[in-house]
Amino acid sequence: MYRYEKGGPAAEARFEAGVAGFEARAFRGCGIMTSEPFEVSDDQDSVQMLTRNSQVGEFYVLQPPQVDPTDGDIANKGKGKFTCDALIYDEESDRHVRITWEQALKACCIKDGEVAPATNLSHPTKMMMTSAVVADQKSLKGWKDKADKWTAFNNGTGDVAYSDLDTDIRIVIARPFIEHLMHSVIMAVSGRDTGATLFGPADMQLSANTQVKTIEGACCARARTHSALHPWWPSPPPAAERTNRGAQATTRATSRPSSPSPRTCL
Amino acid sequence: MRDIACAGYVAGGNTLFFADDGDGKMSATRAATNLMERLSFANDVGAKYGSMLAFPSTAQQFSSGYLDTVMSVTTRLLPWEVTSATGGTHSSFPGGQKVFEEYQKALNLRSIHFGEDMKAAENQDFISQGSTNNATCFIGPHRVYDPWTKSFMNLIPGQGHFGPDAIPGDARWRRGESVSLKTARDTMVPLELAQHAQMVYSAR
Repeated sequence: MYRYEKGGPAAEARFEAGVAGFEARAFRGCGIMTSEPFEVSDDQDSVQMLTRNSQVGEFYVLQPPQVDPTDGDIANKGKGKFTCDALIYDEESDRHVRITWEQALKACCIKDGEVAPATNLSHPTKMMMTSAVVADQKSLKGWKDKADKWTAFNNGTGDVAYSDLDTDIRIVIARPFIEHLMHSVIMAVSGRDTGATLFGPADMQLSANTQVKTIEGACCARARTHSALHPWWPSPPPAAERTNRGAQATTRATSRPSSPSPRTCL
Repeated sequence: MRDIACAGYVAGGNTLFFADDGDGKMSATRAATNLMERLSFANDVGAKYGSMLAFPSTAQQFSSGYLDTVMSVTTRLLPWEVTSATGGTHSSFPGGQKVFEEYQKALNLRSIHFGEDMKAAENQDFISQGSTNNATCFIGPHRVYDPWTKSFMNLIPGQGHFGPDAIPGDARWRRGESVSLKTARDTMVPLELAQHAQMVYSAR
């Protein structure tokens, strides 16, 4: 009911009120128009066009203590407990959860028939390279042997001195499919910010030129174009106001069929 | 148009390993099965699924620069790996290219991207035919042992999408409640809980 012939004078007011809604700057200088969910049916979730599922991924690094927590005394092995573990945030229970070295090592699944222990690492540790068994110097088997010793140390049951453990062993835990429903927005300029072209008085004059048998027209108009689509751009300056004056068009309205070209028909 | 606010938690944010069969036993076969069940929501959306994978690595790989703050767990390479002189190897994967090939076989990592709308993914379209599974992992916030701090813990700050830290209370704004991050944390983690979170490694 925004049309005058149907809504009367009130339609004009309603139209202007609608425009004001678009031009409001209530939230941090932006007007907010919300999109309503679309109900599909009773047994289906409603569809919100600006919401979608989105996944992000994170990884965490478990590492052995880089400084001896037992102070060089194997009798203090209880001090080594939990030093290889990590705390990770669990979103489902909204708390921190301890991930033990032993759990993570098992989850690597390095054994025959699964992830082959003979596979070579791209960057073996220095201590691995000193192994007497050449095949173990770069392999996952060599890596796992070192990691198993840390499991015992981390459980407080190891009999290997800290100095004989490989502190360069790492376990990477990946959590690649952290999935949420995510809202989005469409940001756009509105109202006069989208640009306006204002036309001033226009004048069109026509005259017949009998000598060249053409009708000539002269048009004079004034227009101002204002563009503010990207007012924050440093250059060129946003005041793209241009004035077109005295634009003139000459139109060949008639020509004789027998004449090959009007220019030759003087 | 981008994702700007969490509207609800779906899955993938717990601390269960895909390889775990429920009794603490771990196997790659179970991991491959659980992974596919999770991505296809085989047991309904609200069921309990695994979230984590584990891989072997070394300090040398981190210091080499191949694996520092981001890695890819699927067949998709990182942008700088595609253009590398070595012809596009999976250098960021823990253990390197050969270890990736082994895990790719064992966990069937290639199938993670089956059925995706590639065109929509490449163009970063908002609407696509079907879902797109993530491949890229940024280092996330976690706490490790540190003998030099009073709490014997050190926060390794996250450099991914959810910021440098994640603590109890964050689930509220992540699941789409109309609450700011600060308010959610202040409500859930006042003095007692914040201290408790720091006491895990503290001397008694």
